[in-house]
Amino acid sequence: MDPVLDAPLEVAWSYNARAGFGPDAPQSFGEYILISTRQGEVHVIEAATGRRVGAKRFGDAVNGAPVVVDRVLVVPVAAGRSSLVAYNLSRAQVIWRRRGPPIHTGLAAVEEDVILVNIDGVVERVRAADGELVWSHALTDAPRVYARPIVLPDRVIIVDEHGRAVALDLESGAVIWEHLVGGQVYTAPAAGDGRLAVPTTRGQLSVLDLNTGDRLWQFALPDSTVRMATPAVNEKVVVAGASDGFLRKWDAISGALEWVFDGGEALTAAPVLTDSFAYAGSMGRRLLAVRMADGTLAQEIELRGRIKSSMTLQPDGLIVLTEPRYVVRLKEADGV
Amino acid sequence: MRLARFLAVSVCIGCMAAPTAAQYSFYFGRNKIQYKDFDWTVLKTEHFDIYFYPEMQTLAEHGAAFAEEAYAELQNRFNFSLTNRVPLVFYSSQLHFKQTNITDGFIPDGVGGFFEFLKGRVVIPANGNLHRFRRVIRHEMVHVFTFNKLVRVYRDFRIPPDRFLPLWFTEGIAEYWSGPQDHQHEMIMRDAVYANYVVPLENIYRVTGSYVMYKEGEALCRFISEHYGEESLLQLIDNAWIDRDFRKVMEFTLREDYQEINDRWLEWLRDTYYPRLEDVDVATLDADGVAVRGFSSKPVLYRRRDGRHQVFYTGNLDGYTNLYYVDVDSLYRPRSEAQILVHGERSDQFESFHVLDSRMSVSQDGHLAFVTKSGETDVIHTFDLESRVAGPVYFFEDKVAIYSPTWSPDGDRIAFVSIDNSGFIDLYVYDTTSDELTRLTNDTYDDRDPAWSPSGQQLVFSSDRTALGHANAYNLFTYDLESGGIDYLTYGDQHDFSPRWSSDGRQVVYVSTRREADGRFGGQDIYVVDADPGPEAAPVLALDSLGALSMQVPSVPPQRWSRRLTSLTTAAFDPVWAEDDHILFASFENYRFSIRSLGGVDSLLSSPRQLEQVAPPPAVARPWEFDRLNEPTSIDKLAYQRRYGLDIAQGQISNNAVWGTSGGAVLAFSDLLGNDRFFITLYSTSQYTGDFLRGLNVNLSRVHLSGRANIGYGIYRYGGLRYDLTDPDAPLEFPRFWEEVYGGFGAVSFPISMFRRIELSTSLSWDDKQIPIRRIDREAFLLSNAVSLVHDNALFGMNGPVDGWRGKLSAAYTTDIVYSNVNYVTLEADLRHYLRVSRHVTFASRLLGRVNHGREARLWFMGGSWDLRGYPLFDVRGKKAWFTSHELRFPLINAPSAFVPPLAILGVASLRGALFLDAAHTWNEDYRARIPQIYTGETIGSTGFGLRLNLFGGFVLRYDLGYRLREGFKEREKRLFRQFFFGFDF
Repeated sequence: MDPVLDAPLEVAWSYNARAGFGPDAPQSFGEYILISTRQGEVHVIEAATGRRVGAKRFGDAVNGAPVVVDRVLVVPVAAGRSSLVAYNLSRAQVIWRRRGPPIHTGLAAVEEDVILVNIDGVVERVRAADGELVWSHALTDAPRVYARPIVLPDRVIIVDEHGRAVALDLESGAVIWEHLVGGQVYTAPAAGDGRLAVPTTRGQLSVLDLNTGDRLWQFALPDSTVRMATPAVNEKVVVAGASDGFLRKWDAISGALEWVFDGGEALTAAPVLTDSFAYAGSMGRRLLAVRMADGTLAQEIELRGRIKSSMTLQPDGLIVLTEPRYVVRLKEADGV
Repeated sequence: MRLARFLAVSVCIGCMAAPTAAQYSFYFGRNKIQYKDFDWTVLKTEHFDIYFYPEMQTLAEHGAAFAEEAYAELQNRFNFSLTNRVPLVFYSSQLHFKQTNITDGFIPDGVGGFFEFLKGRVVIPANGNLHRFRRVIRHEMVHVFTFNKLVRVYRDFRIPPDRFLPLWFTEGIAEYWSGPQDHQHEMIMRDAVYANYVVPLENIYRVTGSYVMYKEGEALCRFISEHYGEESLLQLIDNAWIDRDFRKVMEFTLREDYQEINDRWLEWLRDTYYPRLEDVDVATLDADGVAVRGFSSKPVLYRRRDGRHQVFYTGNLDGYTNLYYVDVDSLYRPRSEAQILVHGERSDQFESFHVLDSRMSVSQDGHLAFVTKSGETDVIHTFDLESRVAGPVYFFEDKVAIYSPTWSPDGDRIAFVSIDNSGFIDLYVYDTTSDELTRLTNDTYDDRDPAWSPSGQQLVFSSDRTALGHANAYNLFTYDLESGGIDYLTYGDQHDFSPRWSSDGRQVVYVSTRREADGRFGGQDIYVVDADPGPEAAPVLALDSLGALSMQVPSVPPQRWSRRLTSLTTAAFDPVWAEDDHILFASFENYRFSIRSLGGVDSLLSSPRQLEQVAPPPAVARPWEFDRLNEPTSIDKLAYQRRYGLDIAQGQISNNAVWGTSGGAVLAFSDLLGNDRFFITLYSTSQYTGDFLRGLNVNLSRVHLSGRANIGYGIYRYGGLRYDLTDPDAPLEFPRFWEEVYGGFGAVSFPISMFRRIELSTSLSWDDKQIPIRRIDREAFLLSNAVSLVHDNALFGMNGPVDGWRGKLSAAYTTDIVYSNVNYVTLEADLRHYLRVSRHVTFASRLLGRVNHGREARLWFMGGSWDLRGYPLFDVRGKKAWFTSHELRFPLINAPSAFVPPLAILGVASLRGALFLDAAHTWNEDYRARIPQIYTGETIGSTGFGLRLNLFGGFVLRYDLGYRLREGFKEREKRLFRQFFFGFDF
């Protein structure tokens, strides 16, 4: 995807999803967008128009993002009779269900399989076609995991609530490396260009080497009550918001803090980066477009509610989930 | 009561229309009085609209800074921002706060503030203590964040917001995130652990709303944070959607069995507090009891001219707070039962005592000075203890709250601390001979507990004006009345309170609590500090700079020593020097305040539990100041403008075989301060579309509560079939008829005091009554005026009043000013007296007389469970009636859950019994002849036994069993009647 979407933006369409959203970003699926709601529904929306293609309820609550593997939609269920449901999008029918501990985090797709972490801290690789378990790995001390797995070509990264980052071999589930980042982790880390950026609830951001798990650099605020949000990472920079309302940009290699932007309200959603702008959603209902170069505000758009979920950048638009239950697509403003 | 009852009057008057005005508005209740006409102003900050009045602008600016500071911190703790501005309403004192109309209930002393979630309003009074003000703001802001976050969680998951977190958790987290645990928290928790009244987690609902619950909740949140991680607290809110049962939410979030969590918490409490049990004193073992029943505090001692010692104190033994005294012997042991010197909380003069905040003082010539609330402000009462005659009462304009008066040695002056309209507390001296009031301090510091030195030259007091005051330390200071200089007497990061001079003026006794190594406060103990530094060190023989021996004065400045006399498990308060080697004090132990005497003081002074040098204080003129909002501009400060928001919206549809389908809605609106309220009632009894307007009932009313007199007015239109047994024109067998009424009403309720009020009402309406069966079509243009005098100082127990009395006298005149079809007078007297036979036994009496006389006068009715028991409701009817009821109310099982624990699960709060005797007589003219089955023209009554079961502390079930008495009590019917109903006793 070409990361070009220049402010000013304007709202292209808005879609009522009937319930709130979890922290994960909407999934792009061809020309469609996949949204899961905390009421247990998954909605398929046409990206260009915001028209509903379909919606189906899979449980009482879905908190993490589903994935589509070879036209099979696999949904993690946080509350309901099943904890994992596979739905064939071509045949429009559920093809298998699995009972077990609820799954509060989003899934990750690997070839024809999905990776999941349940609330008992067990990581599993499951075949999307039939739900067969490929491998399973129980994390030490059965921790809670609030962060979606990050899949790399040969490994999957899991970060648990105690701040333990674990790299598991994709084929076997064996541990490749483990690292304690320090501080509790309740939001998803982000990976990019060989680096893993892990935010903690104690005002810290640790950046690890994805290959070795070694810490490359760390940023710590003096105020340990600040909660860092899921960052955005590319080959040059790391950008993250925080509950103190500041959006910060670091040099990805050195960890030097390049600028700080005061967003006013808590910034708990992951920002989205383009070449020129960092887009951040605030708990004050505003979408902020901040210039990457100098951290100044280019535009702010007031939406219908708080922005708590990660956003999805599309070739010509930005998909934002807002309270109380709206999916909003923004596009570059006409005539600018 | 005010709004509810006033509204009841208004609606009642409106609904009954003119002919019945004031007939059925019998009700009681105390008055919430708006003494002050607040000039409300709004200060706008980044996140808040702060409502204050100009006199307290400085305080409001501090509050604004505190609120923004709290917001910044809580935004991080909750990882959440508020999308609406929060209305913060400040009052500069508790006495002003008690006048708020944002809540209808009475606000007792000790309520630090509240969050009202319907309109998101936060209401907070100051009490002279900026630390406390700041903490309460943080506490309430935690509630605001918790509520908004929780609502958001429920809405995200599309769960109806009809459930809330348990109170122990919401209050616990609010306390925990308001700041470090304070000395009161430690006092309660230490006492609860040592006295073994910690309520386990599974039973904490049994103490819901109590102070213990607040402190246990705080301790629980601290335990969860320390044991499961700080983040777990927020997770408990984030996971609230998972189950309606919070126990399951806890188990899911903390990943432990609920019982295991409880066990770990109790173990954590034991580990925290048991080690401190080494080397401590237990007040009940080490100090003799002077007054140990009920709640007793603030002792003072007086030796009468005849040599008798008497201890005076504020106490609450039976529900009312009174001023008590007890004779004591030379060892300060009580010689008799405590007696009441001043009855409190029953009269306008002694409305309420500040039982925890205001000390008393006795002058050398035997005049007691004490403070009560009396009307708009506090006043200082004096009382001659020799002659037992009340002396002059002193009140001061603009001095709203007054605490701790202390007599000068010559008995001419009284020093005290007072909060004025600005909300800050300062020291004052009042000269009773010249009627001159002098302000001694004028700053934002919290000055407390002054005591006059025997020489008359100094005052000692407690204050946070210390250089460590920013950390909420309190030290003792002296005020020199000649120079106006203020000097440290103690210094350190501690809480030093309640100083009193020894009779020779050389020492000061006080209480102090200090932080221990782990940061928690220890026990609050009795200390004695030297009033003056010791003498200069004596010269000693020492080598001089040349190496020669010479007499030298060591370069050590004179030292002041402090001696700790006790090492209490919990806390001592308000020590008073007594003669004969004793100190009197109030002790807190086993969740009770009692007055005790500590003997062997001379020996304790020579061998104290701890001897420490008073640290030299720094020489800083103004040691600290709290943050304050920068000078607000006129843009940020606006006059208050009323904007109305919805309070109630309720609709109803009913279907009845006789009346058909009817439906309606009630809407209520009020402004942000709750002073101006609109009520709209719409109801239609129409049976088909074309009948809609004919059957439409509308009532629009408005009530103003911002002034002392509550004023209501409105208009109404009623139309429909009416079923009314009290209407003398109605058909006897089926008293249904059509009536239409158009009119308006006005009502004024003027409170004379908290306990008495005058009510006036008037209405003017056109009334058309159609009774086809009797061929009556009566039109009337009715003017009805009523006046009532109401008194109520009754004290309520769990099932109804247990002490005091209440009464209402009413007179009304209703006349048809156009057609002369209606013209009658209404007189009513209802008196109820409650005699406290013993603490738990009450003899209640009621006497009621009613007269309706004139053309188309309505009928009174009796029967049913509310008055004349044993007779069906409406079966005793007449235009004139008297009724009397007497009831002996006694306990059957007090605190039944303690004896039969399963009853607690069923919500049984108390079970009481009653022996009753009722009697009544009604008179009619020709009515009985038309309907002979009603009881009229004879004296009838009933007697029997009843049970009163209180469920969940607020819902009373009543069951009566007895015999009916007829023909002037000459006959007793053989058949027992049984009657079941619900509601409080009369």
